[in-house]
Amino acid sequence: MKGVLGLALGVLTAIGGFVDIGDLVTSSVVGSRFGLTLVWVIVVGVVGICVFAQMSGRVAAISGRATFEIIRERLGARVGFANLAASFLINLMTLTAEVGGIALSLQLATSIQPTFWIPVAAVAVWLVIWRVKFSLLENVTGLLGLALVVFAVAVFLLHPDWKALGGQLLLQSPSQGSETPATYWYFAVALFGSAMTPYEVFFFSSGAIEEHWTPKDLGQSRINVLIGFPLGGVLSIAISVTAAVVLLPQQIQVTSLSQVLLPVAQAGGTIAVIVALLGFVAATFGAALETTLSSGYSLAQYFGWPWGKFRPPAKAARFHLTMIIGLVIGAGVLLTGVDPVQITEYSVVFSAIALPLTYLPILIIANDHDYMGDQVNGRATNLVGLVFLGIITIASIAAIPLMIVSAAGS
Amino acid sequence: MSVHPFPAWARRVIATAVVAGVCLGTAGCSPAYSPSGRLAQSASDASAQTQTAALTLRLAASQQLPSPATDTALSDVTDKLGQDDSSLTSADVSGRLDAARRRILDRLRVGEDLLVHARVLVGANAGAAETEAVARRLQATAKQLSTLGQQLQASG
Repeated sequence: MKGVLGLALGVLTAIGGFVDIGDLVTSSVVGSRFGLTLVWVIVVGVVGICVFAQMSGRVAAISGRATFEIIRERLGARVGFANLAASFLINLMTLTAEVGGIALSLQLATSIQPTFWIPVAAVAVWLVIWRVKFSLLENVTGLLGLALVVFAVAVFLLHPDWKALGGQLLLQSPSQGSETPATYWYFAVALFGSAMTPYEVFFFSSGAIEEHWTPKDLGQSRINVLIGFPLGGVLSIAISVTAAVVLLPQQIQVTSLSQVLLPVAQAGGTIAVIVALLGFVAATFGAALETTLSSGYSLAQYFGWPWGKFRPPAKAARFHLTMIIGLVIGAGVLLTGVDPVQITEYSVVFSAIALPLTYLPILIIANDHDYMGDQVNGRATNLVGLVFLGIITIASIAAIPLMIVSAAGS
Repeated sequence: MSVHPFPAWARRVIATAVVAGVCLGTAGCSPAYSPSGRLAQSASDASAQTQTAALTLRLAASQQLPSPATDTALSDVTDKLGQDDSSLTSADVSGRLDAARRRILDRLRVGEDLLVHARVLVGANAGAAETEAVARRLQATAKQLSTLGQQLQASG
């Protein structure tokens, strides 16, 4: 019974923890501008993150070591540093976006300006990381994040024209209305980047070490990933659908978090809005915890410092200091008045640019007998991994030209 | 003997993907940077914001949106319209485009005035008929802005 409960808890937290500010904003922007014509990208992104998350979890469980330790050892200091630099900077950008997301969500709940909430959110994230056990922080934010199921409920309450929605799912010409092919592909790359954000695999892999996974835990980790992440992806799709049903016909292009909420208000009224706001806060707070921890994990693992929440803070001082500095930088950037939604939009595109640097090393290590023994990737996993490596590289190379040509999707 | 950090299979996949990525990234050209493209974009943004205000006002009037979320949504619209106003005011265009810029700015300022009115109505918990009248005017303004944007886009 305890095992079943543990399994259910793992799956539920994986669902609730899947969506972050990048998914909230990008899914809604895309739904409000392209309807459901880009849903296929969410599906592709979710398959990709499943493949690489379970791969990185397996590497951690078999080798007993986290991603960056092995990347530096296996690929050398220079390649390891390139990987670290790209991942750390993208992670910092994502952390800034998540803290901004918490502030915007709390503004929606209280109408108090985000400049008040930014320092409050940063201190709260630091306090939780400092004081709360790893499993507790992961489970509580993941479970509260399930409040975003309200978007799936809203889809049904809106009584959409299912046939018309189904028609939008079919691959269509990238030129629609006033949208150009460059804008379509720019948002395809952004959506892909938001589904495959690098911090997710670092957090997953380091979390495996935090929770002392062994090869015996691989079954549960596979179930968490292969059931939890796709269902989390369904929430992203639901956000897109609500925007496609309510905002697209009124030509409302999403540029702020408050607009993401309007379809839920139309579908379910005040109660639904309150539940969605709880989901917003949980999703952004949970992701802020994960990105803050990931910034500490990546730097500490590369430089060989003691790390992990399983150690008392005094014994992992540089790991904790890195996280504090990350939070101070993130909050500082936000306090300059920069729009958190714009940071989010750029962070998902820059994530896409850095994807090969994150995922190629994982694929190489998962094929290395020295680390993995007989648990190296099978042929099928390698084939899927290679296909995704190709897609990731295409997205990474195309991202900046598309950003320039489409004027960042405007 | 130096060993390349990446295996041959990884290098082949990356090389092929780089070519495909370059093709995708450089395919197509956007008018987003032309003066008329920028004006059309401002008109389209302002239209979307005005339409957002209309929807927010209706949801607030029917008690479907709590007041903090209503205040925030209307405040976001005010900020974005203000940004569009200043970018249009400072746009350096002449002739036909300047006339278009003035028309867009005129409609946008109508939208801004209506938004001020809408915020007063929300603050005063005004009746459904009064808020619906303002929502309709916001919607009409949004449509005019959208049409102006489309005309600019069509004329290139």
